[in-house]
Amino acid sequence: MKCVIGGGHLRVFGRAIHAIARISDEFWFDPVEKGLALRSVNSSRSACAYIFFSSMFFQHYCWTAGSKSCQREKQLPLPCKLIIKSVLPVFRCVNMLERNVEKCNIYTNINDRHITFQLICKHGIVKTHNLTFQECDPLQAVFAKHMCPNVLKLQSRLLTDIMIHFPMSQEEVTLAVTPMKVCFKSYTEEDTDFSKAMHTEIQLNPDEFDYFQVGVDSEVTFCLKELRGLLAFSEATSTPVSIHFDRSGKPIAFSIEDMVLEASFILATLSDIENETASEQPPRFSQGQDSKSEKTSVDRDSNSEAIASRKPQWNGNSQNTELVAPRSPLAKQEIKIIPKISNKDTTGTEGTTITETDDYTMLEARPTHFDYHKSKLLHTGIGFCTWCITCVVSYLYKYCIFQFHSLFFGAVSFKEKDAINHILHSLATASDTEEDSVNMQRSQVL
Amino acid sequence: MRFRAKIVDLACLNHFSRVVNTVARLAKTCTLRLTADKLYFILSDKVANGGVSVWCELCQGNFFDEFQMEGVAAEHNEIYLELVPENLSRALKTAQNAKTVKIKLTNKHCPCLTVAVELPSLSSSSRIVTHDIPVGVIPRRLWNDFREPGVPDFDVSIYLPVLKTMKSVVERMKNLSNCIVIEANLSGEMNLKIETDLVSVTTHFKDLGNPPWASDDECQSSAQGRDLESMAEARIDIKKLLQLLAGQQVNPTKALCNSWTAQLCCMNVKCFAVQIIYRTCLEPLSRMKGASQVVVYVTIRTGV
Amino acid sequence: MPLSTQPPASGERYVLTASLDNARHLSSLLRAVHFQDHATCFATANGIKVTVEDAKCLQANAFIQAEIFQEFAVQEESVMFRINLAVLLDCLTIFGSSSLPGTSTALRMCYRGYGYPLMLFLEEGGVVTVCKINTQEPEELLDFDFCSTNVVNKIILQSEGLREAFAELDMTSEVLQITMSPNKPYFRLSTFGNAGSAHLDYPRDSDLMEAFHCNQTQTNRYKISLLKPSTKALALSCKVSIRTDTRGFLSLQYMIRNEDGQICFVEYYCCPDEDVTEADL
Repeated sequence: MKCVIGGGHLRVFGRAIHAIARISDEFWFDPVEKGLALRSVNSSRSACAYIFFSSMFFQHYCWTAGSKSCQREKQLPLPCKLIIKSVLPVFRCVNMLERNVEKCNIYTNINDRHITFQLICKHGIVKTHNLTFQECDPLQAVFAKHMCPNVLKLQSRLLTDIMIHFPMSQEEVTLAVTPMKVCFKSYTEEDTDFSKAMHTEIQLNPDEFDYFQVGVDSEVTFCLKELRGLLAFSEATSTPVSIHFDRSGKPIAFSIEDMVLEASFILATLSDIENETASEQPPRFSQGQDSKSEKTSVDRDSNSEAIASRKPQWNGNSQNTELVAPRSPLAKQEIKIIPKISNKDTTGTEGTTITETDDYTMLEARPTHFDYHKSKLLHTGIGFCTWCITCVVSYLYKYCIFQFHSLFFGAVSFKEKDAINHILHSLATASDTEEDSVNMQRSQVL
Repeated sequence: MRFRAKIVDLACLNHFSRVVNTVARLAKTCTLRLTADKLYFILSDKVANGGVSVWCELCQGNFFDEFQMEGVAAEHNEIYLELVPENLSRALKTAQNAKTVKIKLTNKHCPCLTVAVELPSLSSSSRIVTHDIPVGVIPRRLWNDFREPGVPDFDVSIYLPVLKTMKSVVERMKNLSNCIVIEANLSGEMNLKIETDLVSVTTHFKDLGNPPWASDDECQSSAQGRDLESMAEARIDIKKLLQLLAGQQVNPTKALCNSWTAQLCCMNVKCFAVQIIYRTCLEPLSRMKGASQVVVYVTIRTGV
Repeated sequence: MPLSTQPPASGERYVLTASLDNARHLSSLLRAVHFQDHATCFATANGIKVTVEDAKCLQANAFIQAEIFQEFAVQEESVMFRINLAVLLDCLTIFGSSSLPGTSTALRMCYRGYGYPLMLFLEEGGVVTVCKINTQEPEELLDFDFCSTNVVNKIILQSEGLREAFAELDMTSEVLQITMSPNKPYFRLSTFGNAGSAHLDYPRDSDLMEAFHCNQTQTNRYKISLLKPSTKALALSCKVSIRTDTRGFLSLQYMIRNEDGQICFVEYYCCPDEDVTEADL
């Protein structure tokens, strides 16, 4: 992979790196034919970022490993996993970059596992950063934005103006919408001392938005940290921000898009007892003995299309392979590739995330069931998830499938057959073959 | 118990937030006392030595366009609330270009002082930001803890120098020592001193001026009949002094006239406290109601 | 208590007296060498040299020549004392380190000799501060024996070109490697940190390069922790001269111009990192 970023675009690229840094300690450089994607997923799998720079963004862009002969051999480019801490210094002072740097060359050297960032600066100074990377396929979330009943589009400036009312210490905010109004409010965990915490609420009129579509009244709570990063980035590109969301417990996506780039930050939302409705929890049954889990599993409809799974099922490697599947044909046979490279990886791929969520875990394998009227009627009132659960459960299983494929050619290739069986055994759509996996994925998205 | 108040005038709002900021820098929690005419921010630190107490009194008419309150009973028409002034300060900070600010006592999940800010928006209707600041309602039996401090018997009262200079001097001295000695006399001279094994530093200020005594003052100030040249001396915690100085806006805006006075309060020979009085007032021009003076009394008791 | 009345009564004898219209001229130079709390002051009729050392591997000298002062008198051939630099700096900047334009702190400095404190009288806007800073026994200073005849390579750069580089040094790297060569890469700064390596190359024809005299390729490593303090001097300076001698010792000379256009120098000497084997280079 080799690309050249011109001075003017460097600020945008730098801001993108800073925004990605809000998500996790690591991120992926994922070159594809149409451009370069930056991806990141945090360790608890509650936030995921995707920033895509089309080849038009660059002065020069070549996605394959090197020469044309490589292209003939269909050698695929390497996605590389980088430590954000090592890349940030390259783009440390974003405003200085614009002034001092004429262009930036980025290229990978597969032989010695290095990625080079070369900044051609004023006065003929050349800064060369050689960083080591891990060759490892990225995790990515597939989120069916177009299925969201609620869509807001607003100028990033307006969103920034809203967020300044919350102190920097505010970790989570709640977005509440009805067709008549939009409200952002501070979220405080139940166990925090109410006598200390100030509660802030901002009410907005729908006509402040560039686009306003509320299909269902909802209240979603999400983390501010990641959003603040996206806001700084969107201000550099001066593009409006679109917000796609559903009910509580289902992910919210903040995205921006212009001619040469697109970005989406998908954040898990908190689901709570009041807002949890039956349609969000398609009938499920518990396989555990835990009382909480029992309580949460609604067995009035023993439809076996959905499962509720519990911690015993989500340990170890089965977890890994369920979450991720290698894309590269070369890696197809290497079942153990994921655990191997994830030794130093985020805890999620190690399965600990799920363990964290343990008893509270409620999983759904049949995620799209958008009958909201029915959902109100079927309100069970006992769905309960903690933050962690939401992160994992709703994120992974309701809407998102971690896979190794690019968004554009959304095929899933589940690798470890046993694991797949293990996890999906009660799913009507569960299958051993890749083909069926693809279908399954589609059926979820559509 | 009811309370609701409204500020429309931006100058009044800024002035009010400045006062709240001052209080917030001095106290983590404080008591807000509301009466029909006045608001008080009170901090009474019970620590005998080295403690700080604050008494700040505001006439509601100078700030609020509407002000309604109803105490627990007709004969005790007052409300005492405990609050974190930082919260109020933060709420007012987001109201800088507000059309109106309403402050009311509400009962949400707990008793709250609700600050509702009406901001201009891109649409025809305003953007409304509300901040619910949790407060504690202080029962009547504890009200006596928040009595107005008697005008202390002081030996020397002196206007403080340009705050920027004083702040800078105290800041450097803080790097060198933990406590500072303030000396002042009735000839407008004040010295700030530190002394350690490594270094001794004395800064001499002169021609500061001494405030005139109010003739109707009942207090028998020890200052009367005192030798003009002789210095009264107090040793206080340098951090507490700096906290007070650092919290202030060093370059006051034109609309404000600020003055600072220090009073060294002595008992026999030994000083027991330095009282620093911060007067700030909005220029009368900006408002028909006349100059709205706010006086903040900060008392820093001397260490052992 | 105005300045004129307070300072040395005529009867007292001071071995060193100096006065300065703007104490900042002194404090900013001292700040450029303030990486350790203790400094040795050495005064002769030519001026004052303030020396700070670290780990027997680094020495920084600030030279304040007599001309900088409005009044400067040394009664003995040389006067030497050790002083706490942090305290001295706090005293010199008692009225603030960034005074408004048009205001400046006047300084009078007196020292009576061995065992006596250093006296400072500072005045700004009619406010007077008197400081008495205790002095200590001077310690023997390192002699780096860096002489210009042994210099192999020398580069003079506009400081601007080095400021960003030093600000961005990868501090996870233990060393800063400096390559100077008559051929490519001419002048290269390299770090080897946790994340990987970074190189910064300056071409010899860069407009920042004021002089380029490199006779042979030399690559030396210096402890980055030792060089980092020189950033303070770099920040104030307009030009920097980078020299290495046959032993690989490094001399960094910073030219510092004060607000009145007077020129002073701050100099850093640093030993090369000895743990380097040839193979490493």
